[in-house]
Amino acid sequence: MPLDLWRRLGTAIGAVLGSWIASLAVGALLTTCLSPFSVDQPVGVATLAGWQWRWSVVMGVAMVTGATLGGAPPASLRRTAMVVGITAVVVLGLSLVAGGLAMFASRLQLWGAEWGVPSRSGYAARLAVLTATELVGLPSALGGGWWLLRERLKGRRQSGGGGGPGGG
Amino acid sequence: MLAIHQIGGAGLAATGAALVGAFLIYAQPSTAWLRRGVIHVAPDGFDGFPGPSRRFAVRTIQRAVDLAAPGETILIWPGTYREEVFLRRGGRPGRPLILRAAIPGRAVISGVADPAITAAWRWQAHGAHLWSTPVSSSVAGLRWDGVMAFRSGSLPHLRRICSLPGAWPAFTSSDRKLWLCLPRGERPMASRLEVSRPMPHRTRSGGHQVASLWIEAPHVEVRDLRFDFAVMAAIQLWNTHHVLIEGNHFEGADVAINGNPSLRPLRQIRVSRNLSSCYPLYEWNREGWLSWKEVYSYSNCSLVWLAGSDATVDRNIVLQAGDGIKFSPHAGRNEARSNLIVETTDDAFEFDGPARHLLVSDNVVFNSSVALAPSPVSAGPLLIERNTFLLFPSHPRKGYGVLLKLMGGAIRNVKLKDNFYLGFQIGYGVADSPLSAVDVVANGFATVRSREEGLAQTAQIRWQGNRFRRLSLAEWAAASQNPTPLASVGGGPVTMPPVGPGWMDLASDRASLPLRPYLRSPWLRMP
Repeated sequence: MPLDLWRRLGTAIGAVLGSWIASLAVGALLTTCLSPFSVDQPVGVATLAGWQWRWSVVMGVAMVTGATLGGAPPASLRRTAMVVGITAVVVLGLSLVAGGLAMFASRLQLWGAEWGVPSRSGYAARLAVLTATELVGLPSALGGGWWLLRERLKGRRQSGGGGGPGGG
Repeated sequence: MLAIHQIGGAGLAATGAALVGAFLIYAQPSTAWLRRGVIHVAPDGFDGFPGPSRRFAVRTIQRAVDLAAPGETILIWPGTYREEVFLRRGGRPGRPLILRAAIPGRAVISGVADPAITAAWRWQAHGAHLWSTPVSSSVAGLRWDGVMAFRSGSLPHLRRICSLPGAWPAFTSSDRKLWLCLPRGERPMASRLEVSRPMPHRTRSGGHQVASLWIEAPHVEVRDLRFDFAVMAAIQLWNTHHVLIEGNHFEGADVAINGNPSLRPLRQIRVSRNLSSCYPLYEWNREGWLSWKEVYSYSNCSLVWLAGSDATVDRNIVLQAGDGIKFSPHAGRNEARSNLIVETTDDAFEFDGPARHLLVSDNVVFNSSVALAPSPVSAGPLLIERNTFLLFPSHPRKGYGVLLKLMGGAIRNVKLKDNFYLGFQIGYGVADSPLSAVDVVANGFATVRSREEGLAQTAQIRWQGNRFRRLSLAEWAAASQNPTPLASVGGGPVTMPPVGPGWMDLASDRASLPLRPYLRSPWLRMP
């Protein structure tokens, strides 16, 4: 029992750290991708900082829940890291897709035609990415946690209560 | 399907609470119900608080504007806030979001970089007056003893101007090195030195706007604050309407209130009873230390740069600016009224653009390089009425200034009526800027040069009922101290309504230093 407790604690710390690192990485990558197109409002470290810490909190809680909650053995660190990584990639990908579509729509004059700024498409990309991160962040974090939890509890049922996927 | 019974009851409750907490942190729902319509901000606050009182104040203005709901007041307690604030939640009709100093004039939104940056610099002397230090990014603005230093374009130029008599502190900077001229032989000391925070590489000409406060939501009021040494703009109007900016002090901003460009056309903007200053911009030129061409690089330093519609700029004080007020609306009814503009190195009023339905009335301008620059006005009507323009003799190197600058393209639909002008010459205009429907009616002119001198388009102007008086240089100089002899052409003391921030003591506040000689002028009566 003490060993199980330590494992749960380790997984929880790993999930929190992983979420924090993932949020920093996604923020840095999105900032890097946006910078060349952002002409009218500077994009810097502070641009996504607010979202980054909020997302890392919500993802941390969701992943800790998914990886450690219940009677089933905790998820392995590797599995937890993988789910955190997949979640981050999903958020990054959807945000970039939103930014790309916004640029496209702006160049076709479907969006932002009335804006009085030198770079409409760059501003459209910025707005779309910032909006997408906000919209996608919460469901992706909760979805990742749910995925981990479901896997563990399913594994426990299938093995008759003797350990889940990656739990050994 | 997940069986809930597999999870323990206590664990489920704890997890539920954690998830709900995380959700609340992420979604940031309104916490207005925790307050009584006021969010307190204080330098010793904590951003985890909801800001219901001074004791539980938030620390940053950004946190407060993120929390704020329509109708709330963000009360900013005394202190210096080194922030770039993005205001994205505004008010509603009849329920504006208000940013206000708890004690007027004591809350400062500063563009000054962290003092730790200047404290870490290691200076090397290059003669008696010149110093250099390695830096990690280019320095855009610098102050010595709280006074803005001149930004030179190159090291050879800095060396030259540093050795001139009457030199002021000056500097030049690359991404790696800062050179500083201290002409009175002082040593650089971190305690006497301030620099503006690093500016993104791409600035307005090639990109980014930079500002201390971005207003990106409608129905907002900004009151009684000081904006110190803003990097570019102090307030950027970006995507907004129904904005009141009243009673603020702006120091050293490239443009104090900038609406050009804005994401969407601005409407219902009022800028009232503010004071902006770029001291000592005018001093560099006044005594001939620098030429007009050299200070022209500071030709903004304006109170406002506004387009949009239904805008009012009234009862402001603009001291030592480049262009005092840049205003060229495209629709609606617009007004620039009862502003006091003192000492500009370029235009007191610039109307470069359509200037539709714009009334410029009851303003007083002292010692501008150009008082009015409709250069060009493409639409109009621009009515300039009941203003007083007083351009006194100055150092010959500075030039003598003019009332009207008529250049830059075709100018149409402009009327000057019932104004009084004392100065060297009436206009400066070039033939390739034709005039149509430009009327000059019932004005008084007391000038050294004749009406035609310097003004190529004199014949294209419809002159009606004006009074002219030619002055000798000696009479011109004497008129600065005695308006009585000019009564025959409409010259006389002007009574202004209260102008500038109501909380500011113009006789003692450091910000009003260049204004004080004018407050004693026999031309001006102020309450």
